[in-house]
Amino acid sequence: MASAAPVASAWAPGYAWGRESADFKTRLNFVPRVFARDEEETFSGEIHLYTGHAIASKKFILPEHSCAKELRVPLREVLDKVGLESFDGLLEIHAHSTTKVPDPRLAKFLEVWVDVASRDGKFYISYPAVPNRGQFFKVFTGQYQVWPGILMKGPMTSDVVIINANRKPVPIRLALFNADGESLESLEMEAPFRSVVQHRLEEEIPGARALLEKTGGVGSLRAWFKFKLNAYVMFRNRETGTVSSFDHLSPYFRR
Amino acid sequence: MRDRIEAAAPTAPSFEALCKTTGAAVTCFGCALEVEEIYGKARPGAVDWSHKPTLLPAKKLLGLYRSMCRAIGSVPIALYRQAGWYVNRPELRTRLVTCHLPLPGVKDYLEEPALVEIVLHDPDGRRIARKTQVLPFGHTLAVEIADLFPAATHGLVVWRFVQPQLGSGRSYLQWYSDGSATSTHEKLWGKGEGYFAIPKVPTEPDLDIHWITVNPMRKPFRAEFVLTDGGRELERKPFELAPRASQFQTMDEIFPGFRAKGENLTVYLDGDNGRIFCYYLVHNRTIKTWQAQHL
Repeated sequence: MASAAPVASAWAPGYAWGRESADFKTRLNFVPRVFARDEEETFSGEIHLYTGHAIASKKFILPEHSCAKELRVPLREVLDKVGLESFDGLLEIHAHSTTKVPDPRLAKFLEVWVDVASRDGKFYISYPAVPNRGQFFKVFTGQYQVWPGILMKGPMTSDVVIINANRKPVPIRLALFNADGESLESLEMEAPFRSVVQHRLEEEIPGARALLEKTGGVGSLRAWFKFKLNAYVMFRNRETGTVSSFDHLSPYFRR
Repeated sequence: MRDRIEAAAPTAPSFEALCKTTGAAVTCFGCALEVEEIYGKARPGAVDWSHKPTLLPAKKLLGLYRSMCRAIGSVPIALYRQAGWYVNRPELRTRLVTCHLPLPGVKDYLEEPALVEIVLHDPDGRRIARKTQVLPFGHTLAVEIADLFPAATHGLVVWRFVQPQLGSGRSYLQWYSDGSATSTHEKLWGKGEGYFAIPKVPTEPDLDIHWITVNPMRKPFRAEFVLTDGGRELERKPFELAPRASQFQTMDEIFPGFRAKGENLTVYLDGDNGRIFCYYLVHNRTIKTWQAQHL
């Protein structure tokens, strides 16, 4: 049997946005049919919490647990253990088999689903925490990603949520294209290290709504990240504040 | 892991069986393509490569080929099939969006126009509409299903992105109502996806949970819905879907009274899931939103 340390370090952590406060609650779901590859196995791990440079990282140890059994971890429980009142930032979820090392040519993470909900019901997202590395897509570049269908129509608008899991800040630029190919680009910004930042496109790119409204309020986003980052587009109703969509960007496929 | 897959491939009856027996990761960021290539090498002829880029012209695509030739000349053409699910109801409509954006600094990135062909199927799998359109370089194409075929209700939508490279040509579905919109990406044709599950089924009384299953295959799909609470199995329901058909069901239709059955409910499809795909939609009746997530 391999020793515990090399086994643990062979698995990649997944990253997600966690929010816990009087207004938000978050839960981590380790569910056998989604999470485990082998239900005979046990898993263990750690949860690290970061908010860039605002606070030092905090670490929560996951108990060793059977892959055949569900484990639900409310973020509140994690915060209580590490001594934080509230949190809005990056969750780095290390979950690994206690005995098996993944094949380095295959996806080497165990899929943990994270759901984040606001207590007023206006914010609810549920999605898998994914690594920042180790995907097998054949892509042109790791620097550009796209999102077809940016919406700025009526009350609806689009935000970009960028997760920088790296240990250093990453320069970024966001470009919007309307359906006819006219474009506007943001100034170069910085994704702070170990952080989650919500970018309101209408604020970051002046004239964005007018550009998209020329072609029915629908267009596309092209994001440039100096180093590959995980990013998501979120639809928000400007009048009610309700968030109703959250999905990841797509790379430029070489296939 | 790779050794295990290579060892099992020569005797595996199907690609799906190979994934199941070896535990190959087949989620959104998984390795289905690589595993399928291993299987294809071990079992020549056993893999359906129809989802791979297909060289044109093929007789059945002659019209498409001619349109493409007119549009971009004689560049070698490949065909990328993608699939998703549309709905066209008064309370929820669908817009398909794809784009063909520039990629600065990459020399071999082609800037010719692409051709997009969209095919709609009804819930029973019958083909009901088809549209072909040129997508100029730099542009975004947004297609309203209601404009394409007003009588469509819901079903499988297939689109073919015809261009030498896929590039930015993935497509996203937007399901929208008055004051709400939600979006998620399509599925590249032929990806084995493993288990489909809602890891935490919302049980709040003002939320309706809709499970969408789409079968893009030419063969029927059979499986079972399983409801668990805290990992304990509560209930199973057989499920069958005809070729190219789709199912749009509420969780109450699948498991009546599910809210009362537990605090930590998970629902998943148990079976040899092949190349189907699933989404779920959460409809909040109080704040009148719909929210999607691909599985």
